[in-house]
Amino acid sequence: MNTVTFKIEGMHCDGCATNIQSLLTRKAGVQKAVASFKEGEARILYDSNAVSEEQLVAAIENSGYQVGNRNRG
Amino acid sequence: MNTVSSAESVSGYWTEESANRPGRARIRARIGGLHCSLCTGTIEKALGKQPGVDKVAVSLTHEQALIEYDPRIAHPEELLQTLQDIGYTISDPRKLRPFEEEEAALVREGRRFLAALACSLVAIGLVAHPEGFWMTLLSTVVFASLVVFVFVVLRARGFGIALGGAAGLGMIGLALHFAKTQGWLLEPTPWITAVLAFAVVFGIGNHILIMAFQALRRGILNQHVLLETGAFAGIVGGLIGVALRPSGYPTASFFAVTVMVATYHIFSEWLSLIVKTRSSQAVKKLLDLQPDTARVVRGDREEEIPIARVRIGDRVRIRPGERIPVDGEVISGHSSVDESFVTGEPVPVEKAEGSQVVGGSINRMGTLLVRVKTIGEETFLQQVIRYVEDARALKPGLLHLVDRVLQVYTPTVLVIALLAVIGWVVGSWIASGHVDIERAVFAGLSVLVMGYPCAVGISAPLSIVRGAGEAAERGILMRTGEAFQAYRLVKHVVLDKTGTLTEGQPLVQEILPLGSTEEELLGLSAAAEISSEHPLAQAITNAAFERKITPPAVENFLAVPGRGVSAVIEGAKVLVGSPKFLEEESIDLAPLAARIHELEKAGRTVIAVARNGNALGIVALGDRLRADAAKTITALRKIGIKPVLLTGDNERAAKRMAREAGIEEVYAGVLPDRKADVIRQLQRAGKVAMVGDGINDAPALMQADVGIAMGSGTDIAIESADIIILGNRLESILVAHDISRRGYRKMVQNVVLAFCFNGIGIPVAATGLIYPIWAMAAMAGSVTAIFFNSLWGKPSLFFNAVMSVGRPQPRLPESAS
Repeated sequence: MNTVTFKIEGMHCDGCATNIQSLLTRKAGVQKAVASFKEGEARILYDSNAVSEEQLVAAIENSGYQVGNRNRG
Repeated sequence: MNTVSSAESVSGYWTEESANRPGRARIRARIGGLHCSLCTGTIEKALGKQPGVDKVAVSLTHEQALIEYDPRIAHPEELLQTLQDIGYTISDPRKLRPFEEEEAALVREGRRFLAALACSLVAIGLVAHPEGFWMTLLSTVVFASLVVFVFVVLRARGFGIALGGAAGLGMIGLALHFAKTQGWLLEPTPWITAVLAFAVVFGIGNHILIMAFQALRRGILNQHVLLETGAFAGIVGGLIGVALRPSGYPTASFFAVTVMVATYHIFSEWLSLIVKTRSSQAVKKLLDLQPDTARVVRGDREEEIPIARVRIGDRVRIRPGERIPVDGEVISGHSSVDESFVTGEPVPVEKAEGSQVVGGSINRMGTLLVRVKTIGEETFLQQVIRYVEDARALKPGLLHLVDRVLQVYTPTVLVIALLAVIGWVVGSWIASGHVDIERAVFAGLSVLVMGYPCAVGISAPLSIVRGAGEAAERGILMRTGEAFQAYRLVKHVVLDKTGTLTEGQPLVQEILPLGSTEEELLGLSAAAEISSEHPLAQAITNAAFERKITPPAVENFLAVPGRGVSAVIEGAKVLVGSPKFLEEESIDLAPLAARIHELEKAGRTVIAVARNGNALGIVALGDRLRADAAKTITALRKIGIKPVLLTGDNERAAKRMAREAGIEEVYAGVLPDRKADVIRQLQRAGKVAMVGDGINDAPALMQADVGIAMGSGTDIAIESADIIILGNRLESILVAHDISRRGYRKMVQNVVLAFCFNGIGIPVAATGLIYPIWAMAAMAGSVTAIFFNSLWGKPSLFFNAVMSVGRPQPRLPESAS
C-alpha cells in the first residue's frame, strides 16, 4: 500500500474535485482517495501491485487536469 | 441514484439521432456531475480525443452531451465509459421521464398565464383613463407590472425573446390606449373587451371553471368559486351594459375587470404548481429505493428482466454491491447484507444458504443466488410503502389558514352582495318611489367583483416560495403546509438514535497502544483490514487514511470469519480481531482487560491487535454522537420544546447516548411498528415532530404532526417527511423551526393585507357608487403589497422560481456549507 499526494492544477470548482475523487476511487487498486479544490491536491491510498503511480497520473491528466508536485508517503 | 454505477453496463442509456454527414452516427446522452460551465470544456476535450469522434457538444443547462462519431471506429458503450472514467455519471433516461413530463406541465401552465397576460394588457390599454394623479399612477403601475410579468415568464426561453415579447405586448397595449384617447376605438371597445373576457374565462382559464364547478357540486366554497363569482359578475355587468346601453355605464370596465381578475388567479395557480412541483422533484431525486430489474437465472442463462415480470420461485442472482430486488431465500452463495433500511443498524448481517433476504437491502461482498418467495404488493418493502401511503391519506391535514378564512369570507361576500341589491331596491323605492334596478344590480355586481381576494391565492405560495427558498439555501427542504403551519407549534421533538442523533456508522473512538505508538497500532490494524468491506474495517482504514498513515504491505493473509484476521506484515505475524480471538491464540491481554471490559459494557466494539505473540493494543469503535447533537438538544429545550429519544436499540446504549446528548425522556427497545404508538401517546400533550432516517421510522414519521428526515437515507423516510435535512446537520432542525415561525407570520401578514383591501372595498362597492376600475385598483394594490411583504430582501427567490420553468433542475447541494 502506498500513499501519494498530487498537486493538481486546472480544477475550477468543488465539482471538479468531486469528479477527480470519484474517478480515482473507481480505479481498480485504489483503496481510498480524497481530492480538495481548496488545497488543490488529491491524496490517494493505493495498492502498488494493482495500479502504478504513473497510471494514476495518467487518469487525472486524461480528464484535463495537470499533475504537478508529487509527494510520496 | 438515477445514474449508472460502473458495474452495470451503459447499454441503452443514450438515444440515437440522425447525423448530418454520411457515414457518421450521432448519439445523445444525459450526463450528471456537471458543476460548472468549465466542466463542459473538459468533457468536450476528453471525448474529442477519442478515436473516431468528430464532434462533441455538451450543454450544461440541459445536462446532455451530443456526440457525432464514425461508427466503424468508435462505439457508444466505449464513449460513455470514457465519460464515466473521467468522473461523470450517465443518467438513466427512463428515470428522468417523470421529471420531463412535470416540467412540460409547468411550461404549459406558464403559456396559459402568458396568454391571459396578453389579454390583460390589451384590456387595460383600452379601459384605463388616467384622470388625475392617482389614477394615472395606478394605471401605470398595473401596466408596468404586467409587462414585467411577461418578461419574467419568457425569460427562460432567452433574454432576447423575453425583451421582445414584453416590449411587443407593452407596445400593443400602449398603442390601443393611445387610439382610445384619440377617440378612435370608442365603438368597438366594449366588444373587444367582451371577447377578451369570454376568452379568458371560458378558454384560457377553463381549468379554473371546472375546479370551481366541482367544488360547488360538493358544497365547498373555495377560492375558485370566489373567482368565478367575481368573473361572472363582471361578465353579467358587461352584458347588461351591452344589452341595455345605459349612459355612462362602464361596460368595458366590467369586462376588463373580469380579464384582470382571471389573470391574477391563473397566476396564483401557476405559482402554486411551481412550488409543489419543485418540492416533489427535489424529493424524487433523493429517492431511488427499488431496483428496476432483476437478474433471473433461467436454465443456464441469466436474463435481466423488469421486476414486474419476476415470478415466485424464480432464481435471482445478486452481485456484490447491488441492491437486492426481491424478498426471498438464499439457495447458494455467501455474503453479508446491509439491512439498515429495515433495522437501522449499519452492521451487515451474514447470509448463507437458507437465510432470508429482504428486497431493498444492499448486498455487500459476495454473490447470492436467491429463490423468490414474495413478489409485488406482498413484499416487505411494498407493504411499508402502502402503510405509509395509507397513513398519509388518513392523516388529517391542517386545514390551510387561507381555506379556513375563505370558509367564512365567501358566504359573507355573497350575503353582502345580496344585501346590497336588496338595500338599493328597497332604499330607492322608499326614497323616490321607483326601484333603481340599475343601481341595485350595479352595487351587487360590484360587491362580487370586489369580493375576489386577488392576493389571497398568491399569499400562501409566495410565503412558501420565500420560506422554502431560504430553507433550501441552508440545505433544508420544506415541503408541505405542515412544515410551515404545524412545526412552530410542536411541544415534543422525537429523535431516532442511529443515524439521526448519531453518525450512523461506526467510528474509531479510542486507540490504546501497549508498548507501541498509536500510529503503529492503527497502521497495522488498517493493513490487516484493508481488503474488508465491513463497516468496522472501513472505519479503521478511514481513520488511518485521515491521519496520513500508510498501512504497511501485507504478505500473507488469512481471515477467520466472525473472529478476526491473521496476517504476516513486514515479516511479523500479526493478529487483528476480537479480544476473544486473541485469547484463543494465547495472547495475553491482561493489562488491558479492565479497559476492554469497561468499553464493551459501554457498548463499544473492541478490536485487539497482537504482533509476534505480544499484545500491541486495542482500538475501540462505536457509533458517535453527531457533533452538534448536544448543542441542538440544549437549544431545543431553550425554546420550550421537549426532546425525546426513540430507538429500537437496547436500553443501555440508548441511555448512554441520551445522557451524552442531554435527553431525559428515553424509549428504548421499541420495535419499528410500535414507534408510531409512542408518537400517538406524546400527541396527547400537543403537536409532535419526529426526526428519523430509516425506513423503520417511516410509520412514525407519518404519525407525527411534522416528519423530519435526515437526507442521508435514500429512503421512504424521505418520501413521508414534511422537512428533509440535506446536510445531515442536526442543528438544521432549529433553523427549520425558525423559518417555519417566520414563514407562518409572513403568511398571516399576507392574508391580512390581502383581506384589508377587500375589507374596505366591499362596503364601498355596496354603496353602488364606485366603478369596476376601482376593483382593479384594489387588486393591483393588494398584490403589490403582498409581493413586497413576501419578497422583501429576497426577490431573487421568486424570480428564480418562475424563471426555472422550462429548464432542467439544478443539482441538489450534496451538503450545505
